[in-house]
Amino acid sequence: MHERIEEIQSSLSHRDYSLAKRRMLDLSLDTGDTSLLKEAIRWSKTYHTQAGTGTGEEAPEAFRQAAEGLLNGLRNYPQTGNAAPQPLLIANDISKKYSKGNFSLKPISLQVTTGSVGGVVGENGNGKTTLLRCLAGQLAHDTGTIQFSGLRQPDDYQVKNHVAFIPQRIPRWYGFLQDNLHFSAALSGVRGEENSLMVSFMLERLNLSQYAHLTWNQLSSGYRTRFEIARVLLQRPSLLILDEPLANLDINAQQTLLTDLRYLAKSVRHPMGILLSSQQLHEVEKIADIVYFIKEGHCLFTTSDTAAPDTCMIEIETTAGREALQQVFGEGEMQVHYNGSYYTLTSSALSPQHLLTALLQKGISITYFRDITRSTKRFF
Amino acid sequence: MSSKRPLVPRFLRRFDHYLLLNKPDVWSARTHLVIYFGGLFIAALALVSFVMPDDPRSSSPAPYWIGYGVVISILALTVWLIYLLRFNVFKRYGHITPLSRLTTFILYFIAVGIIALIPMVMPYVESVRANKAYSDLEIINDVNSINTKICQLEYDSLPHKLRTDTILVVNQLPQHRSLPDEDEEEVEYDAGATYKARPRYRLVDTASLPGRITGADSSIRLNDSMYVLYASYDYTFVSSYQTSSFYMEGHRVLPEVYSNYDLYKKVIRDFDHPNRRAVRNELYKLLDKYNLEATTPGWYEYDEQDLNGAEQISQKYNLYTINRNIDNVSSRKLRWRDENGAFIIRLWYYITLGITLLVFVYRHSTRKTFFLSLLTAVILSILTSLFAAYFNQRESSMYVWLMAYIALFFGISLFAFRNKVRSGVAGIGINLFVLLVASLPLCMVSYYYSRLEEKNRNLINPPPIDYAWKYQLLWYAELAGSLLLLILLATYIQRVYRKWYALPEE
Repeated sequence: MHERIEEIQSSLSHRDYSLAKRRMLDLSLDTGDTSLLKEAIRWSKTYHTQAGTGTGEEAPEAFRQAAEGLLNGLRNYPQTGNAAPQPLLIANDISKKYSKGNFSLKPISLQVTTGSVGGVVGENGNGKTTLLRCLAGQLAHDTGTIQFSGLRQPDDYQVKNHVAFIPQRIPRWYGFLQDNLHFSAALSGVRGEENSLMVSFMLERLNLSQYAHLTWNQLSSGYRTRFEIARVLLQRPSLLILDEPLANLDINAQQTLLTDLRYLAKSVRHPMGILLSSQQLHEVEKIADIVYFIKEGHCLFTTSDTAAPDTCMIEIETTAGREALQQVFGEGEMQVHYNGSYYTLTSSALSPQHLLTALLQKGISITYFRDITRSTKRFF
Repeated sequence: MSSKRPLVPRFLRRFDHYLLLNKPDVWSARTHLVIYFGGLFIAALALVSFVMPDDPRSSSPAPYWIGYGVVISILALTVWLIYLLRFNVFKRYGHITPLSRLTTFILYFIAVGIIALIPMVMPYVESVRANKAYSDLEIINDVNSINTKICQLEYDSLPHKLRTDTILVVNQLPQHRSLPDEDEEEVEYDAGATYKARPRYRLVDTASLPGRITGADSSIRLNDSMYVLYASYDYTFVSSYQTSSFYMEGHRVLPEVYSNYDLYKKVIRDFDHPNRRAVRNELYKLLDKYNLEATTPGWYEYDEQDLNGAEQISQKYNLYTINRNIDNVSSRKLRWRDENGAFIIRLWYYITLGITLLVFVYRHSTRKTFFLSLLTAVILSILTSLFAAYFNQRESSMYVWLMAYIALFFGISLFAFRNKVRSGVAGIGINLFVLLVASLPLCMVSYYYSRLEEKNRNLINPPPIDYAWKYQLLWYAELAGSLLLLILLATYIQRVYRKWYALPEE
């Protein structure tokens, strides 16, 4: 608790108010104190009116004082940490072959625990969506077993109550956004006053308050995704499966959503497991505890593989040409590949640091660098 | 949410919000909005119908109003469906109690029922207005008075004796007519022929004797096999067959409209010369009461030369118009009584039930399965009809077909519990079972009676069928069908839909 309070304090002092606001809301929810949560929501609502709109602008004194008051309130709560991760879903050798078409998902095993975020990456048409839909109970798998550890003798209805699935193409909803949120929460047993509170919380938490009275047609696709996540989260699933949630989001929204998902997964009050598929490898790898790389229906690699790769791999963007790069290193020390946008340098003898140092020492101008030795990117 | 609905009053907005937060299944049915707006509309329509100038003596404009009401109902149903289809509690895998589906069905039924009431408002108000304007007793007394007074005034032109008919009762009628009858053959005129008295009587068999005696106004038994039957001439100038339904008003048993024989006894038989002027004045006063010539132009064309006595009297007092107007009043008054009322209520009930079932099934199945179910129903109906026509099937076999289909669809629906994937066939089975199951008891009773009637047709002396009990039983079957549906909704149907929809796709 205190670490998280310090984290919020640090964000406030560095004028990262957006992050501070989100973490404050999370922390208030974790306390289980309704009045504190209401206070946090009220404070959060003032963020848009009182805090500086631009990054790094100083917030008004009243806003900072209110934040301090909330933090003082939070300090009174006992230290609570995350419970040990519990397995939520254990899939063993599940496979799927469509009756029409020649694609088949080869046997894949994976596990999702509470508080963890799993990423499924791969090129289009290689089985990511099929895998996720099978895990969510949307699609029947041919072989293998899926075990939902939190459920005793689950039937399909309970499984779908336990696992929330957000498809890439979000199904259209009708009416006002806020009505839909109230409805979803009420359906999950969150009734009355608590329903109002949780919807207000979710609107603030996902920055949707100003869109609460809008309809589907009035929202951009990015906000529709956010809304869908808010709606699903109000149903309190144990496992959240998202298919390409970043597809419709801008770069900032992607970062915000991914960090939010990570925070929400690690919630003290309601920890859950998250599994998402995406093409944004680096963003996903940054927040995921484990990433599965799927190619032609096979799971080729997971980032949990402990064995160190035989070769190191970096990708760079530079104004220098291929010959200049190859002259930096000796014959056979490194292979250079160019995909028209950036170079991929592969070496079994040198580490990424050595490669970068050598390039800089030879005066090669580098505008972008990433170590992809342990990234699934190397398989693309 | 409600800020964008200016037509919704504050209290309803608050109630709506309360339901949204606490009873999502009730909220999503939107029945509370239908009750409020439907109730308001029905009240307004009733008020308009009450204040609208309308004379009960005129022919009823109800058909136009019903047409208007049907259009409004279709619009209202469309609006309700647009709101209803926005939120579905059954496809979100939320916390739903087993009774939720039953509750929702009842709420749908109420909403559809209110909407289906709209076309009936004006005819009902019209009936109330007619009953307020003319009591049953008043009409009976007026009809009797008019007939009595016309008989008094037109005594000289009316027959003064009863018609007689002599009958000879025999055990078996001869195959050919040996005795004269009314339609005897014409013979050429023979100027030299002399009159020969011939016995004039009609042969009847013993079986038809009781009916003839009870049908006659009076009878005399001449000997063991010969009777004289008396029947009065037509003295009822004003009559409405509908007035025969006026037998009770509140708890009071009403007098009957005078028959020809009543008028004969009261006026013709012991004729007492009345004060013609006073009687005529009273008669015209009564006729004026029912006369509405201006709004009901006559359509009866006649040539005065061809008129018989009764028709001349009718023309003299404008009785065609009076009769029609009394009929108009009576039909308005009787629209909601006894069989008429039962028929309208049944019509309303089955329309409501049908729409409710369709909406309920649509809410619980996928769009594709729903429309495939309807298509299956249409195709099966066509095939069954063709089969029945080709093999000359009897009525009872149609009930067997229907019961067999219900059993078949039930059997198919059970596969939802065994299947590993959401099968379209199982979905169609469930949908059609839900749509048909309420008719099962009715089919069983109808099958029993149609079999009985078919058997009786082959018997020389069939046992009598108690039709009163049959109709009672059919009414119980309708009730049992509804109860069966409600029980199944709370038990089997809710379980099978829950299981089927949650299954993964292939």
